[in-house]
Amino acid sequence: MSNVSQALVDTESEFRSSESLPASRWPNSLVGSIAKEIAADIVAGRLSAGYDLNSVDLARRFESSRTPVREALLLLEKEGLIEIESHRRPRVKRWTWSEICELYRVRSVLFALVSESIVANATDEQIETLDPLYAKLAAATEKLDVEGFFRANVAFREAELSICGNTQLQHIIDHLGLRVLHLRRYSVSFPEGMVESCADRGSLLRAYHDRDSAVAVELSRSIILRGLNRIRRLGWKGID
Amino acid sequence: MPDVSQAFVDTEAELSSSESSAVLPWPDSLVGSIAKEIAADIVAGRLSAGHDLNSVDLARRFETSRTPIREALLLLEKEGLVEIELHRRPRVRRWTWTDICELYHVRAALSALISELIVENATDEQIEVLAGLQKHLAIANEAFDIDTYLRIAVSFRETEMIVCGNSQLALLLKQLELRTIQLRRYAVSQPDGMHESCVDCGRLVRAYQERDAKLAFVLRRSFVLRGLERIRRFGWKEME
Repeated sequence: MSNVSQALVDTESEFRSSESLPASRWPNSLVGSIAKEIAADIVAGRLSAGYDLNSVDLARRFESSRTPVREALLLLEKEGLIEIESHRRPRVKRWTWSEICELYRVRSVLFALVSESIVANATDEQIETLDPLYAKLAAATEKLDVEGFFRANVAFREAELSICGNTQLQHIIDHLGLRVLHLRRYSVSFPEGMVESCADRGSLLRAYHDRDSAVAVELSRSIILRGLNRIRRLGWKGID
Repeated sequence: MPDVSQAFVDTEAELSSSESSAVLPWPDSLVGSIAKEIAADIVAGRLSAGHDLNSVDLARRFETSRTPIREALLLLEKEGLVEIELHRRPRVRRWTWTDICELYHVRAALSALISELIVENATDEQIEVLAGLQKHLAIANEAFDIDTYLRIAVSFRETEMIVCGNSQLALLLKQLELRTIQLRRYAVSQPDGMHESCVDCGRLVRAYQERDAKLAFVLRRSFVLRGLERIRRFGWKEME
């Protein structure tokens, strides 16, 4: 990843590395726990894009044979966190710009569905649980508190997922979200990103309260795509 | 599973064994190949919902110890094909009606995006390939030839996934569809199911040809949801 400062990466790792990797994602086994630790390193930026993952070193680190390490690497490949090509060492996945665009496009329809489901299924009380989360978002924006903003933003998203009432959708979004966590952080890490994103959330929340499905769906979609645009404007180049 | 005749099961098995191996990237390792074989059995209906997966029997069948079997079952659980509860034998996943509804709504959203992207990205020649496949669907429909119909329907969808130009989306949707493959077959095999699906597909291809992204999006979405409605109407019973 090109322009993300180490400070941002560190903060991210502090509060996200454990939550972003729900235990259920990985099998409860030696292989699972190896995969989980490597994933946390990748998400936190301790292992950067393109970094070689040498299975002999990893076996030494985890005090195991190479077989479970190899299985763990296969799991990580499935999660899209590492890439394995034949006759090459596995390495941390390098995302191209076009892959990022593809993922964001997918995320945009999934979040549109989240919003549609909230308008259709959530109770008034459930929608009201978003109000204090939005207040935190607004307060962080006011203070230009990048850290607080990102935390509030993630909390708002998670609350939306939990009240949308579709657990399958929730799993899929978690799965995709892991791959772009760094970028999500990046896209709101500048004042203009925060202000824009906060205003969007305000409108979205109003649409939930109004039970206006069409507006909620379109806003949700545009919030994701605007995040992508910000990443581009801010100069993320990908690897190609 | 509801009453699906053996003929459909066989056709599907033929189609899906290649489909499943393409989607489930568990290459080369012992665990991976065990998982793949069990997955193929589940997708083809040779192991039905709720079937106990006894690791001693499986270890005998694959001539291995129980450890790789256990790892393979964990992989299958992650894929949503197997359920593992405490103090119980692992078994083939039983879907509740709620699960099915949730999955279909996600599928509807992602499929709609495929159609929208086809309008945006596919060349005229690629759309003509889809139109050609649609003509074959119509012929199979006239002849009441459901096996042929299903086979062409699979090609149609695979072609759509390629020409939409978003490989991340295609991969995600394939993973999801693996879980609902038996239900899709059930939906098409209901009275009028094939006819309705054929008419829908004709309309969709026209939207592609007219380059009407919005129409293609909403049409595709409604087709998937109509499939769900068909399953409900014809008495799908919960597997609990």
